[in-house]
Amino acid sequence: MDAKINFDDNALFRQKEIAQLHDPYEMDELDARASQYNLNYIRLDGNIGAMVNGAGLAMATMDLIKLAGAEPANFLDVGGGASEEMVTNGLKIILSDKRVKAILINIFGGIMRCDVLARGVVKAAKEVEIKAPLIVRLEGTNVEEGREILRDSDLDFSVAKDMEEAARMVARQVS
Amino acid sequence: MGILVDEDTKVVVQGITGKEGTFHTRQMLAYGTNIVAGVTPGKGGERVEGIPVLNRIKDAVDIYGADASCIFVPPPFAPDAMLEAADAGIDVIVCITEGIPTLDMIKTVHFIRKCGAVLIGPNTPGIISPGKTKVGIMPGDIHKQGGIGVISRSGTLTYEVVDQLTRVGLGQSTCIGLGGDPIVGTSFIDHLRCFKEDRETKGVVLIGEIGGTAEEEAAEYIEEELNKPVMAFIAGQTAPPGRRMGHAGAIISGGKGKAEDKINALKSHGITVVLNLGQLGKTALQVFKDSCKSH
Repeated sequence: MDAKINFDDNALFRQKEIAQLHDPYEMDELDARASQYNLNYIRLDGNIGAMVNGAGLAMATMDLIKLAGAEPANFLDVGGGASEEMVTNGLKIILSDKRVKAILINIFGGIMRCDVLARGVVKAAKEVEIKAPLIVRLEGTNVEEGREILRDSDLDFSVAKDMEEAARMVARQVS
Repeated sequence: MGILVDEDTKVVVQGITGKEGTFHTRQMLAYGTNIVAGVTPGKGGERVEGIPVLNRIKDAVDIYGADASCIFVPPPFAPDAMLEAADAGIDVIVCITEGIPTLDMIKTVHFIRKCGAVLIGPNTPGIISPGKTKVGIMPGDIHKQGGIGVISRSGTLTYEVVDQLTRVGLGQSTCIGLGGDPIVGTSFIDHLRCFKEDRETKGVVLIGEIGGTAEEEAAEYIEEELNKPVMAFIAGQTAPPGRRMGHAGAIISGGKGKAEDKINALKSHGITVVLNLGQLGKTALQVFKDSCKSH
């Protein structure tokens, strides 16, 4: 006999005894770190690090990377309304994954503003050296401000005009 | 026209005094949404952005004629907020809140259906009829009024799709986020039925993702009942099984809910499925070419 039980994470706030059974050491190290920061991160098998806002868009971005002939290293949804700190932490987690050969940041700013994203990226780059090529695709709320912040930084990155181009550019880096 | 909400919709914001509630009240007002009142128990008498704050939603209905509500209440209290809205006679309840326990939603959805109200969400960006009103958190300016209905299980992915539609000149009649949770108030089919009757809607874009069987059921309905062209995109072709991909409802479990199965089901019912999201706008132009000629 074998049985598995899944608990609803969303109900853990009223199931304190069950919540105490959680053992972070059983999780993938990067997965565990991401969950501390409230980030949706899932480690995958490829070598393209991806950071996206929103779960659906993050999945669609993974799919596009694959269509372009490469493999995503992770699923990372920084959330529809991510803060600068979450972006910084998210990028640092991607950077600590040794397999990552190129990074794609795909943001459609709605509630999340592109300038917040840009500041988070610049801050992460100050704390950890970004060795892999970085492709950025920004669209939506405050996109001009976001692009300006990135341009004015010392960051070495390429800008993609849309999702398709972004995936092609990042795939080229590892082919 | 459009479905569920329009320029005559009178909105009450539940949780209006919270950070998110206040911010999005301002955004909705800027878009032109007719917000008549806000509710936060214990804060009645205050004002947010000039909107009167009430203690009970019943007063928003009786005094201000509210018929739709937008909920920004934390997960432990959101089910009660939905129940109160349905009980007070609100027609369309939009619950933005993410992270509500699944068990709570089973009971809540059951009660809301009994009241005859329509629940959008939870864990949704909301609903927008471009040029008329928005009840939710989506960026208004990427939308354009027109003939395409959009139904989606996602948030930012919907913005991406809408942006591409607008860029190729295809406006939208109404865009609805079903919500990313396993238990939500409405399905694709509920809204397809409304789009079928809506004269402004000439075609529909359906945005699905892994998990559940909502897309398969919709495919069957579309072939049998819908007399308008439909195009679909399914996210998660590369998603690993057994992992929740951000949304609580986005999970391949026991080999079920795979993107591939959904894509095949849609195709077998004659629906165009876009595999490359970057091509969505261009493909939409072809799919809707004949039906949207007058626009």
